[in-house]
Amino acid sequence: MRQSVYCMLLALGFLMAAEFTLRALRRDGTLPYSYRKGGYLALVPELDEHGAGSIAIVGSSRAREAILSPTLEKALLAALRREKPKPGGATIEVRNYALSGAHADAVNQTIRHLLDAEPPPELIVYGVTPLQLETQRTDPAHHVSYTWEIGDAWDAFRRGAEDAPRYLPNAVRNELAHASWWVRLRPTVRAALRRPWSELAWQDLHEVWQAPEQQANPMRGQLPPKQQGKDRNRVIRVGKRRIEKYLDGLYQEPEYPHTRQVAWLRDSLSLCRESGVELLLVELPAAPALRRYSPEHTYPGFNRLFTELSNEFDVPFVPIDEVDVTFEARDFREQSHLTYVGAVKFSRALAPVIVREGRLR
Amino acid sequence: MSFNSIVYAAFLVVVCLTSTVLLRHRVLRRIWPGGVRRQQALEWRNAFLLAASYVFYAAWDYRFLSLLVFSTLVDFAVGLALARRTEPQVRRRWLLVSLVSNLGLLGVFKYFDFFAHSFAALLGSLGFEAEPYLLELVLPVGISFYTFQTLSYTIDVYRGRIGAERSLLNFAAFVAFFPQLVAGPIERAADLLPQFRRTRLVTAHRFESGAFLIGTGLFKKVVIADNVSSVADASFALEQPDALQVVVGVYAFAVQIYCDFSGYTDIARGSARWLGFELSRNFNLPYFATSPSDFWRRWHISLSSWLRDYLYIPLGGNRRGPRRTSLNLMATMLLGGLWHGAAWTFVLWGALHGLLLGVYRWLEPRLAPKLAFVGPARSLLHGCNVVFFFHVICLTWLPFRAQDTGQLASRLVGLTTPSGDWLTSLDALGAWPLATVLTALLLGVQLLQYNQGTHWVVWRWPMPIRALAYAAAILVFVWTGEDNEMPFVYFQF
Repeated sequence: MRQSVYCMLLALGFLMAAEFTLRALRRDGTLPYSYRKGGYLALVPELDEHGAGSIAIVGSSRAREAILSPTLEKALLAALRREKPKPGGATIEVRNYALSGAHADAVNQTIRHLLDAEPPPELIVYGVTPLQLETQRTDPAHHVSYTWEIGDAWDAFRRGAEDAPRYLPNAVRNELAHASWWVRLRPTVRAALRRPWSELAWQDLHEVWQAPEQQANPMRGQLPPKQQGKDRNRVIRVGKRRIEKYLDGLYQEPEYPHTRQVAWLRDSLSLCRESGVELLLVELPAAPALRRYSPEHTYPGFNRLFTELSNEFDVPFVPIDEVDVTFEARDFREQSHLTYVGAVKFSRALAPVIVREGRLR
Repeated sequence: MSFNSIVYAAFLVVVCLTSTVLLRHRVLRRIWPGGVRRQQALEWRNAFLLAASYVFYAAWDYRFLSLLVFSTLVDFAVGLALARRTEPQVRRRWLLVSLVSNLGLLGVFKYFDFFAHSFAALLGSLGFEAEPYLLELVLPVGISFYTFQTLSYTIDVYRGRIGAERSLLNFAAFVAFFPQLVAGPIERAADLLPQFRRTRLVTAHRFESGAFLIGTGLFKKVVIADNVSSVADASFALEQPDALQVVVGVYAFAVQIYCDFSGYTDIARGSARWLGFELSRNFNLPYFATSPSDFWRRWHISLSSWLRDYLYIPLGGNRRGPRRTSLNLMATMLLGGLWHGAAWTFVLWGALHGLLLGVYRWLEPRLAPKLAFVGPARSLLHGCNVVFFFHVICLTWLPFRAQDTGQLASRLVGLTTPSGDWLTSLDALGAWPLATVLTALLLGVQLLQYNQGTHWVVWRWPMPIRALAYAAAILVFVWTGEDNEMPFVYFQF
């Protein structure tokens, strides 16, 4: 027995030596950003290492592709200088923490992590869409669990996510990842081991050793990868059939808006109120075809709900009609996401709205 | 509450601490007003274990707890009746009560719909259209395991090999003992029941070896089986696979099912050790077998010995001539196949093993004198034999894994379809490089175990090497362990 204990202690010693070596070789403990699961996994290490910035964008991929941090930063600085001239000028760091497929529960989790960051952001811009209040296309705990810590898992279970215990290993790993960079690197190493011939997997592993500023990470205020590529202005034509296929079964009453998602949304609003962090709810643009073919009650109901919440929590809500921007066909990549030109247009138009409604100090 | 979940880990720690620390006679004697007798402390411990086992089972589906209680009560009563009565006819009737109730449970929950379907299909093929009457019941977890365990008890009491258990508490705890309740090993009453009657000590060695078994089992399941399963699943999901895809898929399944099931058994044995119990070994390097009978002495040992003792030998075993022996082997293996699942693919799997056992039984005495080499030639022949027989076993995994006969047929056709570019073929199977690395790791360790004749080879290594191996295992576990809690394959049986 004694030998086994010594053995385990020695093994822990080896692991600690490996940890120190890694920390000596790397500049920081962040993860390379990637879409889907990779974005969720990158969130907490990013906040641990670099804080939350002064303005944090949250929402789904639509918020990530529509609000470009560099453009918004420049436009905001210009708008602020016009509105509140300061000697020496202001500094603003816009970080985009929006995650693919994030519904209200995942956004709630993002906001919790942002509020825990040191220091928390001054303003959170919450890009809202009707899809975020659905549950049909997500396993309630699956993606969110990639950002969980043990307390979050318990909280989710308490609030009705019955399958939360299944995802406890993610929460345990995330707790460990605060202390160990080797644990943090798990998704990257795993991806490379699973598909070593995949260029993408090695690219991520290579990025681990790159300087942070060389990466494409919207959480660090850079452009998201899709808005940097040569196809960033590519438009896919969207017809009625495609929209119908996309909307298959979505937004059906009485399940919509889903009570659990609304509860998470309300929780996000009250969390921000309690912590004194300003919040701004902004409706994100959708292609005209998507609005046209969605069930009739969807958008009026969506606007009504957010107007009510806005009054209840004293949080500004900006419907898309109130943003001074006119979109053309080339601004939409498909029914939901903006192309680069569309995103630049929207980000610029958002700056005065933030200055007007965002209560920036 | 699966063995690979954190909830089970918490459950096990709580149960072990309560059972082995709080409910010890020495502790209870001091804290309980008026003191506690040794026997009383043991009863409390068993009662606690029973309650914990029922909680464990109810966590799957509390509705089926009644079936477990029913099976326990029937076999306890039958055991007592068999102990009281001496008249052969009456005893036989009591045994029949146990057989009918246990096999009846299995028949209703596991086989009714299968036979109804098959009968309707048979009528359909004869030109009579019939809509089968189906019960569409959910299969209770572990029903095949605990019914066989309780059956073995009544049969052993009937045969006079063991005495009837007088304590309902001990018997119920024996039937429901949570480490082996849902997927075995199928323990004999003669081995496990006496352990409930005596004071159990969790020594330092027991704790240490239990921890090692749990760690090994988790590694086999979460790291090897769950990663390799993605390759097997991808291969079996292909509609028209080529030969390479079928072969790699079936290799992957062979590794998956071994690591999945033996990993489960290791965790079960480790958990039991932490509670002071000893469970039987269910696996002994099965892929190093050189013949079908050798394979069945190494694979799912508790089931194969059950089938041997309660089916094959009562049918006459090998005592009634070669033809009858072959028939007995075939009948035993067919039922063994059917035990795994209500599907024709399992029946076919059983039939293939029955056939293999029969053929080897006929061939062995004829070939053995001609192949009696010595020295390196003997080792080489042995090695070739192991490799050859591994491939034979892999072939039998095809019907076992196939979801239906159509899928099996497409795999067989695939075996004859030449592969084009091998890298493109393998690309369709997903994470095969990781699966290959993990399989190589497993093979390396098993070769050491086989050559040194012990499962505890790591314990023989010098401390720094052993510590390095532990550190590497922890890193590999963290890096490659499956994200989500994947169910054990044998839970479906």
